[in-house]
Amino acid sequence: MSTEAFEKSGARPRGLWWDAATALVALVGLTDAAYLTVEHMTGRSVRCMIVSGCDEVLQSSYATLAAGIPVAAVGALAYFAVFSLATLAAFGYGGARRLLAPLVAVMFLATLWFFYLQAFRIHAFCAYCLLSAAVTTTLTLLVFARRLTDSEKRLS
Amino acid sequence: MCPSSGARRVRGEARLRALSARAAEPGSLLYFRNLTRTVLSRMSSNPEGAKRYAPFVIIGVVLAVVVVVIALMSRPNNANTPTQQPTQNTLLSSASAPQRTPTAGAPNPHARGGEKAAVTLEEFSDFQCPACGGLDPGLRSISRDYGERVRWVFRNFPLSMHKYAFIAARAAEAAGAQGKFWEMHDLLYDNQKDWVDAPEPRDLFASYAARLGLDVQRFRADLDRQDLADRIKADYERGISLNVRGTPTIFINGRELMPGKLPSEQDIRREIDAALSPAGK
Repeated sequence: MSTEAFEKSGARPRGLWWDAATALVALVGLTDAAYLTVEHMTGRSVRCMIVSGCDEVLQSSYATLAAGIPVAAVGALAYFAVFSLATLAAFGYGGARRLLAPLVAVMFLATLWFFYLQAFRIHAFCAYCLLSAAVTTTLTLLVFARRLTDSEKRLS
Repeated sequence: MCPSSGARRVRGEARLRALSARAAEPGSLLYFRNLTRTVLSRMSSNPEGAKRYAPFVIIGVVLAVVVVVIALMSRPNNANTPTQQPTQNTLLSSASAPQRTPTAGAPNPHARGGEKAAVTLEEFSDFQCPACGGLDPGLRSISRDYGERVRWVFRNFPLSMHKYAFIAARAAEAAGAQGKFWEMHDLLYDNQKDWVDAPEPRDLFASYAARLGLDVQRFRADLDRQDLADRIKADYERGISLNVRGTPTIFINGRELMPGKLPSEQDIRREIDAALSPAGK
């Protein structure tokens, strides 16, 4: 991100609260995905437990990408990217904000796919994966609601 | 702008120039120290500069925290390793008394190995659990290598989340009624992926029974035998009384191996060796 994108205009960048909220929600997602990554890497969820949790989902072949990379780790990276972009945007880096929408859109599509996998392929739901789905949905709503309000302001 | 703040600014810029004059080779420790000082001094002397660098500082801190937490949490948990329990050179639980008296489980449990072996390995397992399927070849190899010296006792622990775990346990017991429990046990784990996805696994189980040369009609009838289901329930109850919370759970001479974790074949071999060595007896 070049510092040229830095908005020098006002004391407070436009939509600071939107960006701050996006960053905070992304932080929740990052914590969740980091926890799932640790669970995956330590193999704690590899056993089958009486209280069904994430083991069914994390044990499934869908939990790992081709190169043995846990899906949760990719999720953690994505949340970290959203957090970084939203933080930059909150401090006036307008360019970062433009990248948020496509990134969050891809994450939302991935969330829909994971929901489908849990419901129809694995036949088990993982609470932490559902939390992640809720976080991504919230992020999507935040980012696109913000774009809507922005465009309304421009029109008026 | 008041004169004093202007003077402060000039002093701050002079400090920056002095710092950059001392800039060291990129990558060196001095370079990073100078860079940090530059950023911090700019942030303190210039509000706009602070706003410019603050997000990077926040992002950096969050990244560092996440990396450190993941690294710390991913370390193998050595709560039961010899370094922390010098008197006990073992991965076994420190024999804290179970909360309740263990129940006996099914009478005459299915066992491989010597009747009077020095080491008894009691396994609580679920035929549909992938982790049990993953460990099973290791257990078989251990049983082959140690022969009569290790007695491997199988306990059914079908988890309710696995829809075919109970019927698979019934299939193993039904084969056991015709003297081929272990043969069916091996087939169930070897073909776990096939029957787990089958719409109705009973037919597949019957085909395994035929492959083992069992009386298939009797096998099918035995799948619904109440006394065999009761054996499975008795094993499960024993597991609960021993505080078993998941599968596979391995007990070696009555003590749980690596509680809460998935032991590997090597972990089990190490514990058996320790139990077989004169000091372990």
